Amino acid sequence: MAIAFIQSKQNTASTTSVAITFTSNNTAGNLLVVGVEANSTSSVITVSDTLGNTYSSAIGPTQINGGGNQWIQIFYVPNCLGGANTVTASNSSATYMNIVGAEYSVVKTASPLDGAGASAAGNNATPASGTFTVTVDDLIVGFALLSNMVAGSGFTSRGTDTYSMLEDKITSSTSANATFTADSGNWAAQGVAFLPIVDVTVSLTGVLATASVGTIGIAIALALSGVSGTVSAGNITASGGVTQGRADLYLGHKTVVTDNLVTLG
Amino acid sequence: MANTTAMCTSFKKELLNGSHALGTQATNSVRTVTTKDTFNGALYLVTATINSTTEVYSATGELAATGNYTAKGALLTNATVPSTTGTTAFWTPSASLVWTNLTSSGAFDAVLIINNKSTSGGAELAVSVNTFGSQSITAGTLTLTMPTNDATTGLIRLA
Repeated sequence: MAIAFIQSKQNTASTTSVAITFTSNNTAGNLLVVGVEANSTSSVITVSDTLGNTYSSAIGPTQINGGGNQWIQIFYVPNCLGGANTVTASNSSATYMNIVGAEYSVVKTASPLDGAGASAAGNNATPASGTFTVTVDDLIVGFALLSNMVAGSGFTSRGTDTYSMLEDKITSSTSANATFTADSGNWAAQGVAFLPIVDVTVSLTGVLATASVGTIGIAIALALSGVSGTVSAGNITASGGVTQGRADLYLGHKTVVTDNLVTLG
Repeated sequence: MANTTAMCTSFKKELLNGSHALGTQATNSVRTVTTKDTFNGALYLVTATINSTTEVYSATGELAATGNYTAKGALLTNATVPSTTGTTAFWTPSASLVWTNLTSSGAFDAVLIINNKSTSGGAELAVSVNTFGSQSITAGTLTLTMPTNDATTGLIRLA
């Protein structure tokens, strides 16, 4: 199964925190990705939610080109808890914040990040994270900051305030670059990759034992009277010096017939 | 060290001793009805050594019992009675062995079929070792599909 987009939500606030509430309950085990923009003198952004998930930084914070007071950062939660969920991003010095949260299924529930991703800052109309190595079928998530953002070729926007945007795509390549187009200006961009769950199916091969049935041995020993020595037949031996012959019928190792049969003068 | 596909030699002896009931045996003049045994499939790391000489279940070399994998593996679905075609008797579990959200503790390449009801020294008697290409899985679904239950491909065959 391939990674699937489930839902996303976006919100802004001109204060030190901003929150979104997912429209539908999060499904336990899914991946939550949150892109945050903070217009702030501080780069420290934190994310929490009402389900009690613990958010890790996927990449960043990355400062806008030119050293301005604008930061972006991508956070994630693998194997999220299930239920109604409100996600809050905070920055103690922020005057404006934008948050975009997205939920995905079929992402690895442990260590889902594929590599470190890439980030960059520049000044033009084509923000881009820069190239980074990924794995075919990875989920590529990009987040960037500029004005009038449009998702790059092959990417889908999951939310924007027109100044920062979260985009994604499933890659068929081993190289990724989270690209955008926008008005020309200073920008910051990030890209990260998440690994899908890979199922394993193995076909078992049976085992064969060949059964066999033993052969029943039959042996008849005949000893002659008055003859010294040994007379053998099969694995039966009669020792000599006997005065009387005897015939034994053996089935396997068991004597089933024993009788005196022959006497010679 | 390696794992090798085989019917466990001890299993053959135990069949002669009547230690295994792969299906339900009807009452006959000698024996009363015997309820079929239950069997598990346990996964073993590539570093393990299980083969025809394996007589009983052992945790040595088995996947670590973490997450959705538990010691002695998973229960086999046994809804198919042993059957014969020509001179060959055969038996195959009736459904795939499946672990969901499984993270293996290392590369693995074998499943050991064990009898949960027949033990020796407290350990489940071994039936067979079935190997496959080395696998690793992280938070994925592992499915071991059974061969077709017939005289040429069945999981356990006596010819």
